[in-house]
Amino acid sequence: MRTHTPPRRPRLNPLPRPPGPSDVPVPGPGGFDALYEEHAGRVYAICLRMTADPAEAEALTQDVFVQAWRKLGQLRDAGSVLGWLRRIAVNALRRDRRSAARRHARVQLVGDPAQVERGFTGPVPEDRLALERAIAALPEGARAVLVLHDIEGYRHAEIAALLGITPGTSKSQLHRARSLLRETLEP
Amino acid sequence: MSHLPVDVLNDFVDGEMAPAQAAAVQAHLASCAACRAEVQALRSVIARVRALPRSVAPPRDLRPRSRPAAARALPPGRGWLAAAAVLAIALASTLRGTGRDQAESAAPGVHAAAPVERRYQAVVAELSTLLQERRERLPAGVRTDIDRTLAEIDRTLDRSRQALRSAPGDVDAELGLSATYAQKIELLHQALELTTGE
Repeated sequence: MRTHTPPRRPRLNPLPRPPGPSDVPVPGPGGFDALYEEHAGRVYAICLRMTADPAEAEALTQDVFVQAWRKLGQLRDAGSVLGWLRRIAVNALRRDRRSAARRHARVQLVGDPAQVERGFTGPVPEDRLALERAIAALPEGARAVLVLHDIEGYRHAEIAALLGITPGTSKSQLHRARSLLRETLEP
Repeated sequence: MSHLPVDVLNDFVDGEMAPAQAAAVQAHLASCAACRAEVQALRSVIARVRALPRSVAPPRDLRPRSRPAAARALPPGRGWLAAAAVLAIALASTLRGTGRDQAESAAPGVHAAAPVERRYQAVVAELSTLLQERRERLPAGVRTDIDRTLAEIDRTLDRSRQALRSAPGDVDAELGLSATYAQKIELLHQALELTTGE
């Protein structure tokens, strides 16, 4: 389990307003399970490719679904569930990057490209594995933009907002990622 | 060796170029095999990346399981607040029916706990007992903070209970009481989470 840094003061929830007719009803355990069944694979895929670290990807995916459970009452439009989960995932990744442990480590953490393989269950075709390894070997910033743009289909303006960078940086990171992939994959 | 800078090459392939500039690139490609090959190679790598599966099955069940044993039976986090409000309204309408007779049949002078309170009190008792057993795992400063906040919540609970007694069946008063209990439960959850650590 992850370490909790004890807060200086426990948080108090604000008093809730009573549910109104426009509120999404709080789903029972079945509703949450359906949410997980439907979207866990998508969330895990983003976390695995962006962290290049299966253990971290598992922990982050768990965090996303804990937050999803807590915030489910805020979800208005079922059609945007996946978008909402992906935003939570990316925010969780950003917080993770800024955590004290990372700051103190003071190293550019690059995933060991080979370990990303442990994140996949079952046999994976070799050419796909080579590509996943090549993505895992990218520098963090370039990798994040490549995953969000070319795999998840976000536009540069959205990526900029998600990652806290400029659209110009998003573009140059994407171009860099693709160039590095070509170097790795083209003999 | 390409005549096209990296950003031009990528923008062209992504269609992120003004039509006039794209036309100029297109014109160049018509007579330059090397650049055509570059465009093709880039398109190929992008296609490979786009063909990756967007869903990857997690190696194990990653649904939240980290709550202490007693709390696992309860929905964690803020879902409680909405659920508490819904429960209070449901119980309030029960009280207006046969439930009220049961409450009034308690010994005179003794204030029977409202059904909504009894349910919460059971949960609070269980969590408080757990927390009591694990208190020493909390840093002293946090322990003091939690005790102080719990005392504040208990004072609010007293006020909410009195408000409900002077206005029995009042939905707002019941909601207030339920919400305060939900706060207390949430705080006990958070305190217990701090004791489980790694």
